[in-house]
Amino acid sequence: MERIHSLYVHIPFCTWVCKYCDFTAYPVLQGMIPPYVDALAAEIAQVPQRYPIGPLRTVFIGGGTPSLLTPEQLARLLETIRQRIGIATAAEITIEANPSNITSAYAAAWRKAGVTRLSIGVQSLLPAALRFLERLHSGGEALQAIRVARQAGFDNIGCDLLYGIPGVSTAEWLESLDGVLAEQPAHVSAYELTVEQGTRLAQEVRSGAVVMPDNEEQLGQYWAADRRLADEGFVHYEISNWSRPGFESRHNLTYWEYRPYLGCGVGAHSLLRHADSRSERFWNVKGVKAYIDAVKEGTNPVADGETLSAARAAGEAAMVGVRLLQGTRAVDPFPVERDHLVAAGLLAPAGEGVCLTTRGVELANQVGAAFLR
Amino acid sequence: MIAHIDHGKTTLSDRLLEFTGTVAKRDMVEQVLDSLDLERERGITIKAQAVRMLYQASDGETYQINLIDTPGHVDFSYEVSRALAACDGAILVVDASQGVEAQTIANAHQAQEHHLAIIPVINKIDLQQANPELVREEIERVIGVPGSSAILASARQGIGTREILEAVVRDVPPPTGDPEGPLQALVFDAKFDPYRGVVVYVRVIQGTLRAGMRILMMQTEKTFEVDEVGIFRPEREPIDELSAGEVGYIIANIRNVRDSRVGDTVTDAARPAAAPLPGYKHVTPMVFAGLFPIDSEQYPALKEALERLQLNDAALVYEPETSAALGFGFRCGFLGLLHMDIVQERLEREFNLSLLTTAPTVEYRVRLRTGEELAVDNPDHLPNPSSIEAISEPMVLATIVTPSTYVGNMMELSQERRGQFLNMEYQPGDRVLITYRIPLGEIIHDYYDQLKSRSKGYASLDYELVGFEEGELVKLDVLVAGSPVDALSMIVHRDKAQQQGRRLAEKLKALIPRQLFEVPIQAAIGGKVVARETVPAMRKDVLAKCYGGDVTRKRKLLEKQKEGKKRMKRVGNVEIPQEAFMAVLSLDK
Repeated sequence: MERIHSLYVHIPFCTWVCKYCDFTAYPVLQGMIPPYVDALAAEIAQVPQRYPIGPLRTVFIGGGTPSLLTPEQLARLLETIRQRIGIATAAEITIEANPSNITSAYAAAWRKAGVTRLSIGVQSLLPAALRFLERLHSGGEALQAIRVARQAGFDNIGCDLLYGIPGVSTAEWLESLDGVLAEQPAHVSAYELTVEQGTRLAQEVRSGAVVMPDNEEQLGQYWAADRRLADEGFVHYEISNWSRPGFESRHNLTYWEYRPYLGCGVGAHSLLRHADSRSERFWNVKGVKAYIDAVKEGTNPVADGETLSAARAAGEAAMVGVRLLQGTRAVDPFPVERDHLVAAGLLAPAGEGVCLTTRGVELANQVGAAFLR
Repeated sequence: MIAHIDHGKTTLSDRLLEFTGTVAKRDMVEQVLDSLDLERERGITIKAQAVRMLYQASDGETYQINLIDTPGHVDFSYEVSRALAACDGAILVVDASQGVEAQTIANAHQAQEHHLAIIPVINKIDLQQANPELVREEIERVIGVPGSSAILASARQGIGTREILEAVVRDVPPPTGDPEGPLQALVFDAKFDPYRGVVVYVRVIQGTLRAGMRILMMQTEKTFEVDEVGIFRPEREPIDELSAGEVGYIIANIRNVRDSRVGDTVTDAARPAAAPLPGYKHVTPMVFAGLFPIDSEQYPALKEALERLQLNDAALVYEPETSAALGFGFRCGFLGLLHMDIVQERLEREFNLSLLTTAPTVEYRVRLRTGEELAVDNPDHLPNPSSIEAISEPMVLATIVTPSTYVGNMMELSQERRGQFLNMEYQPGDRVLITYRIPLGEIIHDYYDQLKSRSKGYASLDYELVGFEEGELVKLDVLVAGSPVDALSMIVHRDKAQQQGRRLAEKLKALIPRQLFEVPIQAAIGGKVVARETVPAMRKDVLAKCYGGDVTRKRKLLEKQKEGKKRMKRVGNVEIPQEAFMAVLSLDK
């Protein structure tokens, strides 16, 4: 089995679960965080007995809202990881943070605990958009948060933004983007606001209370942002991700390059790669209480999983691999499909591999599906 | 047992089986005689089904009664006629609230043609809207059977069951054939059993059938040794012999389904009968459509499935067909649209096939300038217009029975469909019997659905083929992404061609999903484009996020989309869904 060098840790709590979010997240319940952190530490401690893992080259603490943890709780988790699994020198250690939680004290504590990268959920700078999204911070607070983080010593700062928000024009979207770019982040993720099943946003769209922008508008905002980012020297390295050269999210590259990773915490997914090229994916139980109980009993909190044959694993690798816009070799096992997609104008040769064309980016699912059976 | 559809034949059969103890109460399920899953699901009878009952009558004697339950839908009238040829009497069931309807008349006439004793039964008398006295009058006036003799029954409540059995004993003449005479047994149905070969359903007219006997099929001239004879109760039950008057089955190691034809006469090879029984009228298919495997590798399996199904469904005819768009398949003839639908579903279910059916059409007669005559049951095979002298289309005599309120709607509908009005008769109980001469091609294009919807479900329809008539007919071609799709061609009346072309293009636009590129759809008559629509190219299909926890979900989503595509047929570069090939069916408003 291929050795794992990437760890994801899930913190499922939020002060407020935004209406568009379908991640595993729960409104923070008084008293739930300490036992959850205990359970996480216990699961992390058990991991090396179960899988070949470490030293870790990337650690990603995501959520939910990981910045809701106290600096002590976070430090304890990282310490457990360091001692039980081991972290490589120059590893990338990311934490997702909400602008409201980023104070000088917190930022300094995170640095001290070893965090090297911050991913800040800015989403938008427009008051109306933030209200629509039910974000609890203002645009000004978000910009201030970036400055505070930088002062604390973070040079690897990523900002998450949303476009395609109902009522927000392309010009207004670009204003938000420019406002963020003025703060010189190293990395920008721009996500289209997507209506996910089961969210309150989905309900509002169904009832007609909210009308989403059409495809033309969404793609217009996407490519307009891409041009602006390119002008600022950012590299478009994944469908929704841009970075200054060398500042790609190394942890997320693990997913797109189809290398193994382990996920700890509620609902976290893991991928193992077997020597015979089969893939094994499994995911933890979803309920916080169920997770805590499972870990307490010393059992593996895995809920379910699947094993993919070598052929299907290759298809999946190609499906995610084509998202890397600087080119990928993941399509190599599918010469017939590759030629077909190149002829259709969706893929183009890039270096020794291929990459999505402009049209290919817009129809990436059609491309990805070609490699599945 | 015969009736109009939904008048309660099958439920009444259930009661008779229960009352005579043929099926124990604890084994009773609804629709005992409907053995196909499809029949239970749809609540209709497709196949006639035979069963033997023993009934102790009020005279103290025990009688053997062989019951055949029949389908009521117009498409399956052939099943009814075959069943009637094997019978001595008919129970005619009429719904006490619906009264005499189109198939009541048609089926009763068939029974009369076979000179059968008719026992009228007015069913569902427990319903609030029941009007048995009015129905008695209708039976007398429309069918010509004394209404006073009708038995009042409710199959649901078990009312009238004994009276029906008593009437059968009293009114149906006992069989007259000599059990010692030369064997004559009418083959009225057959079925393929994978373990035992063909199971032949017979009614013995004369002589006796026993296991071990050598039999001769008089039409196919094949001989077989009988392994087993038996009866239906309603499952197969072997017995020693079947003699004159009895109904049952023969298993004789018949492996080739073509060796046993429905309508053939079974006789004793050692002492053959002088002549075969009259047999059946040859059945004429009314509508034709192409059946193609979605996966071309299933072609041989489809061929075998059709052979086996034909054994059990003598009305089905087929021959190989090749389509430029759809590849290898079969051109099949059906009795009607329901029959076509049922055949497709049975093939898919019973033989595990995935099929595409092209739009049904009728058979046209084409007279060429050379004087030669052609039968064309596939629009794509219509010769070049310049070589055609005239095209004739099949005409039917349609009988509509409707409450008088809807007469106007029925006439309007029939007029729209190029019908020629023939006659109108007022019947007791505010009912009107209207007859029209209508092109069959118009009937198969959702005429029946329209008839039902424009009469709030009250009107009923029966039709029979009455000949061919010349018409101003032209071929409408469809081009998808510039290439003609032969399977979408249709033959239409010149006056309607342009309008139908427009509607077809609009419907196809709605049915063909967006593809990677723009797909133009054109309808053309004789090379001249009369309508054009465009399916715009797919604009956007991309997920914003695909991180570690999203991959499985995303892969499953894409796999599901791909599975949907597999149900489509790829024509050139374009994926066309099944429904598109049926779009021509409902072009009229």
